Amino acid sequence: MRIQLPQVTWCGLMLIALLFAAPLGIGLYRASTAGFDLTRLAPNPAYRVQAMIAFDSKEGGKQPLTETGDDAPKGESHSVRMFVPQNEAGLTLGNRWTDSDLSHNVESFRGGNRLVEWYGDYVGGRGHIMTAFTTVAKRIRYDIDPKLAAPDSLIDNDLPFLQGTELVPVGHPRIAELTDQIAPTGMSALAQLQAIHHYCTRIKPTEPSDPDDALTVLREGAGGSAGKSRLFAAMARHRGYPTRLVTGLRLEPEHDAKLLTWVEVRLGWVWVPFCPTGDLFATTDGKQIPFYRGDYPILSATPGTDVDVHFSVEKTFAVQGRLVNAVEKSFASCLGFWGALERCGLPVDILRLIIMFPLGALASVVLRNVIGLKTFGFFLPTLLAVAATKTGFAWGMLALLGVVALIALVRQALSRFRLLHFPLMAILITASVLSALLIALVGARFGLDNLTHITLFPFAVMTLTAENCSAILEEEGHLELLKVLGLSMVSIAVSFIVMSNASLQIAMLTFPELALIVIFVDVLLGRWVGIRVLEYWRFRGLRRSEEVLSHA
Amino acid sequence: MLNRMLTFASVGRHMDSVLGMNQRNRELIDVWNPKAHRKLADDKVLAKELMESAGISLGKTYAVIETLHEVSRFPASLENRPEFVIKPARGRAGIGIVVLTRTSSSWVDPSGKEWSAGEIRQRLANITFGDYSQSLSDRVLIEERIYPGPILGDLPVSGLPDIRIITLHETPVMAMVRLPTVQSGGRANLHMGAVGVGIDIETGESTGATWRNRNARVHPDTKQPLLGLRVPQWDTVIETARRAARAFPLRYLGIDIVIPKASGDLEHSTGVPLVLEVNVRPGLQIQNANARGLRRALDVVQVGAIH
Repeated sequence: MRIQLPQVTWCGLMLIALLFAAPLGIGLYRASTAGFDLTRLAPNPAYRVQAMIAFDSKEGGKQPLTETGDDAPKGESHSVRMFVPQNEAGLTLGNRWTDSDLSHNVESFRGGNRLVEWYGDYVGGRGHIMTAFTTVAKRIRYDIDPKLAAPDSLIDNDLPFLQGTELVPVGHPRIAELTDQIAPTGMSALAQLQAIHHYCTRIKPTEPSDPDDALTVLREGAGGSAGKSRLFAAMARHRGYPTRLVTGLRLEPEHDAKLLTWVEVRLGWVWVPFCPTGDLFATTDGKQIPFYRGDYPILSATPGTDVDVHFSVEKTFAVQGRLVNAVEKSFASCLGFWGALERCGLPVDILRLIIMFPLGALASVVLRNVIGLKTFGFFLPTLLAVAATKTGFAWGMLALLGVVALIALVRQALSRFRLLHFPLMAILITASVLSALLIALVGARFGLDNLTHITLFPFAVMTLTAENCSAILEEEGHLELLKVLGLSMVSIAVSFIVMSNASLQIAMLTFPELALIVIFVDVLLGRWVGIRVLEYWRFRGLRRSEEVLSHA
Repeated sequence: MLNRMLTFASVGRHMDSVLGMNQRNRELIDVWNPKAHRKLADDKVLAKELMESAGISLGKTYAVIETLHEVSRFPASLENRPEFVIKPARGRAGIGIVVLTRTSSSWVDPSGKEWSAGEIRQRLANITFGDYSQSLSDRVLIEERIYPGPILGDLPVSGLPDIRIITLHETPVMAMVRLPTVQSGGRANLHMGAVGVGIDIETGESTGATWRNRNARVHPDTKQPLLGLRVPQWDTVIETARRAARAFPLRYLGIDIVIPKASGDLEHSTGVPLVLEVNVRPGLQIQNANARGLRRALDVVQVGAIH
């Protein structure tokens, strides 16, 4: 291997100072102001939760409301109510946004819970209410004093949290027997709760729709999160612990978000969470958002109205004023700046992709100039990768294949008309837009969110794709198009991995000056004239013959 | 010597002589082919004008079409031409080129496809709209059809084979003959399946060949051996390349030369090597055809040019 030391000129030194030393210095200075605790400068991971409520009224409205909970009826009209989360210890909520087919909404507090009611005249048929919010949930661990004694006296105030119900039959002999067996009196509070938690955690999980009162769960040894929590509550209350059920959302962006029930036990003056389903003992893992306390259904509506709710969760970053703390707002952190941009209508969701473009472009440079991949245009794979972050990689690739196939088909169909080039391009773009809308419509009709998101696949990018693949088809034929398509997909996959990497996004949002270092690397690559990886393969025969020459 | 500041390439001794895409772009094309002058070679009409004034042998130009109005005058404008070739002036890789022969009622191309006057006018219009040159407008170059003569020993020819010669500072450094095949559809483009036969620059004798990026010893269609054959009039070919290179203010070029048939049946078929076109970004596959890297040969020329 031959490595030549660079001849550094004044110009080169300036470049190194500007593009390498300066960003490094600024970054180090900012990190030092936060005591090198980078978590204080970086944006917190946050979640955007969207609840889509669908209601279907068969009788066309004007029905008196019936009671749920302890509320009085609001009048004659359609009404849908849902408990929504509120700020509390470990949970901060960002801007909430609602879009509803019902004209009015009102918020009230029931037993400490926040209840939103949407109401108004509705002509009937299927309607929707969408409500979304951003949230940052923190982990909290509660240390229970091992010496804390089990409760012996009841405080009046606690009565509702100690009473039995149909679903939580506190006094039932089987519950009493089990409690005495696994958590007998005389143990410390910690030991009793551990025993109850351990017992409920080991119960076999079932579908949420199965019967889930405490006794059924006990009898069958199987239950959903609500059933396990009710059994927990029944035993804990039997031992004299004020206990309440909590219903909330488990945040798993990769999967459909699911409603989950867990319990809170009052120890001293603190409500301590226990989740037998997720095996969380006196702790929260920052991935569960409590919606409400109490044993109610989350949704209720006018009689004769079918109603259900579907949650989707997306990971994002917190930059809004109320979601970030004081240090994060200081000069050293860029979060204040990103927050300001968000207030001007540039959401951090878009921003985190924009800020990744330098890295996406760098990946493209490496793929082309160092590896030697031939792709659709230069930057197109990066743009397609950005689009794929909105739809998910698989759906994005499906959209790309769909567009390419459609273009080939439409071109074929139109070839007999011998249209001029640009009008033909316009037709191809229109065809891809129409087909994407059609796919989205099918997606919306059958509730397939990912299909609907295909419309987000930006059409400007589609236009470029259409033009590029059209040119290859015309100049080099189907085989070459397939080859370039394959290589482009490799390139898109690499750009996608780079650009959707959360750690890199956090790094770029925290230290945007890294973009200068990216330019520095681009400069180095721009001066690099070495053999590309694929050229080693291309000129392999030549290598062999030169070997023969050198041995001769 | 080439400026290799910050070069950390050249891993592996045996790739030392290979010219890669990065080095070609940065140290040859960027340095020796100034952007402002590239259009002189990229535009076939401009290139022909330049070479014509330098007295270089070229195929005959029948017409240059620039506007839709001129397009509408077809076929009257080419009434006396039984055969002609339509080329986009700024097309690349042979895209958009059609060779047409007049029949009693229409025209046919070498594949036997019939073209009506309307179809030809549409092709002409599309070329002027820049469809084949990735630009907003272009010109159509209408030339005589060249019938190729023997180009490599007595190998039978199909399509239009040519000789690609790489020149640096007007000095020919490497050469290959490009033979169209069935797969390349008569075109002399290696990436479309033409055979590249390496030619010794001193003797004009074939030394190796590449087809579909693999070493080849025989022609893929006819199975005839490709090595040890001579290019006729080699000295004239080299001299033509030198003179063509001298005509341009560009220093690193790929000159494409054809040797027309010598029989006197057709107008202008004198058998003198003709320059077909000039390329400012000549490809790298010539190295595989010659089983030799370009770098040493180029280095020798550059050292010579500096001293």
